[in-house]
Amino acid sequence: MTPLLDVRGLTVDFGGLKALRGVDLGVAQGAIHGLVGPNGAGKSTLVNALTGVVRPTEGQITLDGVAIAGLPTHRIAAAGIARTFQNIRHFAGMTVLENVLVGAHRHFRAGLGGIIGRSAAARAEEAREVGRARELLDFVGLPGVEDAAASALAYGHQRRLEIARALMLSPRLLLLDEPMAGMNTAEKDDLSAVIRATRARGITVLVIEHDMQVIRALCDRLTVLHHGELLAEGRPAEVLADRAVQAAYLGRAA
Amino acid sequence: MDILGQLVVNAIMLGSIYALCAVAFTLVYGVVQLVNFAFGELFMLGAFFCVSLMLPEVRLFGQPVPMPGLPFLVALPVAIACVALIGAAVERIAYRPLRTAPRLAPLIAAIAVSVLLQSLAQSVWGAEELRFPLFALRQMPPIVLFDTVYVGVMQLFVLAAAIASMVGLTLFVRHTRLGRAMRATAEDLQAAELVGIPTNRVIAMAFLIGTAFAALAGILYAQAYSFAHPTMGFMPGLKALTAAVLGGIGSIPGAAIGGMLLAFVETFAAGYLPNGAAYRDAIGFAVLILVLVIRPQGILGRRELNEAPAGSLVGERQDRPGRWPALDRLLRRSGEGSLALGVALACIALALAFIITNDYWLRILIFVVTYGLLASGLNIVVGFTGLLDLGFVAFWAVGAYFTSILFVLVLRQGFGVAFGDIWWLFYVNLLAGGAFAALIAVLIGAPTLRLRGDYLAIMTLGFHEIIRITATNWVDLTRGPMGIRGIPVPSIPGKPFFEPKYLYLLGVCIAIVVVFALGRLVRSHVGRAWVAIRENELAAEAMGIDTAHFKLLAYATGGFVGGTVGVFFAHSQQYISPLSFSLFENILILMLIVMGGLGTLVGPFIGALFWIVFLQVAQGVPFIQAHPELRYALLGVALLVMMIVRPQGLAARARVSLRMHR
Repeated sequence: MTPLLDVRGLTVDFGGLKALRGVDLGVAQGAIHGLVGPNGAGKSTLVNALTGVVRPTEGQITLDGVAIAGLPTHRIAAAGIARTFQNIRHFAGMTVLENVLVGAHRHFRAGLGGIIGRSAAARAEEAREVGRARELLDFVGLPGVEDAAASALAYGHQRRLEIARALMLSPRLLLLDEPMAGMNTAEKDDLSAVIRATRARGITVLVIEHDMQVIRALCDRLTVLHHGELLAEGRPAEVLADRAVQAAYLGRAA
Repeated sequence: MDILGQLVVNAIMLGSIYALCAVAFTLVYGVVQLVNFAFGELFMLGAFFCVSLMLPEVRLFGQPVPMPGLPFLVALPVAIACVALIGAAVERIAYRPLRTAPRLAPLIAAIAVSVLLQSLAQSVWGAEELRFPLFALRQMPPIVLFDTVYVGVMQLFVLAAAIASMVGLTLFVRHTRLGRAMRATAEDLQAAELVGIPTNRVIAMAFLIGTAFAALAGILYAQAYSFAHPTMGFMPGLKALTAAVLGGIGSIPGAAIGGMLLAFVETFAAGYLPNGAAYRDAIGFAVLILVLVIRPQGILGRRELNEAPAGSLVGERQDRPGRWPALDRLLRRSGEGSLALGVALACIALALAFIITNDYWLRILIFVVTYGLLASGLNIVVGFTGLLDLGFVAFWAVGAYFTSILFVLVLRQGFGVAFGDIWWLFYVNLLAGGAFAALIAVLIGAPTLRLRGDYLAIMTLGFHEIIRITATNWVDLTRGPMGIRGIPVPSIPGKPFFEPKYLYLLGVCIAIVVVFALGRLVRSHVGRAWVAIRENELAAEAMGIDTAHFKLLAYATGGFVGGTVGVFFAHSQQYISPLSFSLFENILILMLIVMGGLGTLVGPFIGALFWIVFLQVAQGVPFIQAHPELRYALLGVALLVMMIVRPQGLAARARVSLRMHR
């Protein structure tokens, strides 16, 4: 079975500096797939290449058989890949609910006339998406704050807000770029539960994370990047036991 | 040979002056990423200080004041030192408190300082030209090359001064402790602070040196053209900024190359193209736009200067409880689009036409409505979408000229159509003029989509100047500076709206329709897409928003409103000329929105009301009657205070809720 996300020979060259060299990656439908590697291994570059933020120099990316490499970011989002950011990028001037509604952008069909005339269809889709937004805010554990300013939320809640916003796209694949950075164990457990529940909704997850305990408990598959190359891939327990991985990642002698 | 040689000499002199002033922009931008629009005015102050010091007596505020009558070579450094101190003081008072403010605030502050200095200069030295006194160096006989090319001694002096100061500055930045500190601050302000660099002092130094360069350029410019004038700094300041951007802002050799390039293009265009002298400024800006489209970072610039800066453009939502909870509640309700509140406001606005019987005040209210509408259009672009547009007035002009040319030059004078037979065309034109302006907005907007922040502002400014210069010089189409007279007033059959009462009612009706439509647009996924672009463009793209498309839509929407208001304006004034659509109008409109509240629907009207009422009150004060320019100085001060104390504007709490309520 071909994977949902299929990356072949992905190379990203920043003017001589190869951030990724010929990386292959397959993320199976319905998986929670981990992506680890030391700082500078190319994890964020991979996420940026997958979402069209940086343009791949070489290689193919297909989502469910559809080629997406080199498309603009918004087209890739519409094709079904949603993401969060390593450094939080919420919309500071908006309320929590408005932030989440932005994620629903591609579900709106009303034209300018329908909006200004406030047609029945426009009203219906707005009501539908507001309903979904509230449901997703509940889902990620942010009930009752919809009218607060997004910037007023605590740090961990801002991360949850980003996840809710990304889920509003109804993506096939959700990319989480270090969603648990700076969280304590209890918060990480909470967020792990949210990620599992997301998968239970049929959404495939690719998550970058540094905490090996979290990875071990959460992921079905694990990919290790090192110096822009694929170092290992497999079940978390096996991969983490691999001597080359331990050498690269934990600094132990091979 | 003769004309070519002379053009080269002239271009080198002009280029030296542009380059000197470009260094000012480049130096300050390099360190604090601020386009200090006030350098044009500091340039002008340099000229005034130097001339004043060289004369035996000067009239200040209309009173004769004795002056030392210094020789040029003494007055020059003294004047530069004085103006440099003013420049540093401006940094301390106006810019330093804003270092952590929303990104738009420092730029607005720079514009406010610019307006303030220009109006003050006009009050102090008067609106007349101050002649540059003759001095020994100028009276020396010129050197003649190839029998035909004349090179004045002062032209050599200008070139020598430019080369000496640029080389001196380069050595300073490369080899001194302070220079290194300056480069470190330019790379990363916070990191520089962490390693113990007194960044505040370094920034003050950058302003001091930059202002000295601008003042020197101003003095050299003034002696070349033999006068000083309060508005003399505007165009050269813009040109110097253009030169800095052309060369790559942040780079000192870039400033030199940009200055020379711009001067050569302009001088040769003026010398060789038919009617080139009239269009020389437009050609300079066209080169700028071309460079920005092809190579946004300029000739020697670094790419990252055109990347999205961090932080919110207009600041976060205001949610803390205020002093007047009832007022706050009302403003919040207006942000949510309360129908009852909207109807009540519309009724009050309409009722004013019957309550106020004084035509004078009704005419003033027409201005409030016109400016409030314009500000509403610009607010879509700046306040909601976060695209800093300094050329918005061009769309207003497009709408006004569209309807005026059609009615007066084509239908009446071309075909002899009487206005009474086509009274309905005015109402059609409200839409057609809007649509035409929206089309122009899309054409202008398309190449600018790649540019961000300050670069976008400069580019739109260039577009505006091109349109204004064209309107002034394409006499066959626009009647040039004479303007178009006899534009018919709006009417219904048999009833022309000569009385201000009806014009005002018409204006309010247009405003109701526009605000209603804009309100519905921003409270939908379209408005959310706009604000998402304003707040974080990359995240907006990642949410599936085609940011290029929605930026164009914002331009088009703003342009449409501008065009519609232009049609109304032309017919209600019955006369238009390029003077109505100056860059200053654009700055004023921007100030009105900032004052009222960016990203609100009521803000533009609150700002307009505030300004027009202030103008009326100010007219009653005798001192201001004697120096009317001071009104603009006061507006500048009010805006500065506002930026520091309440950067989100008077009606910050009316920040629009971006979804349908009920």
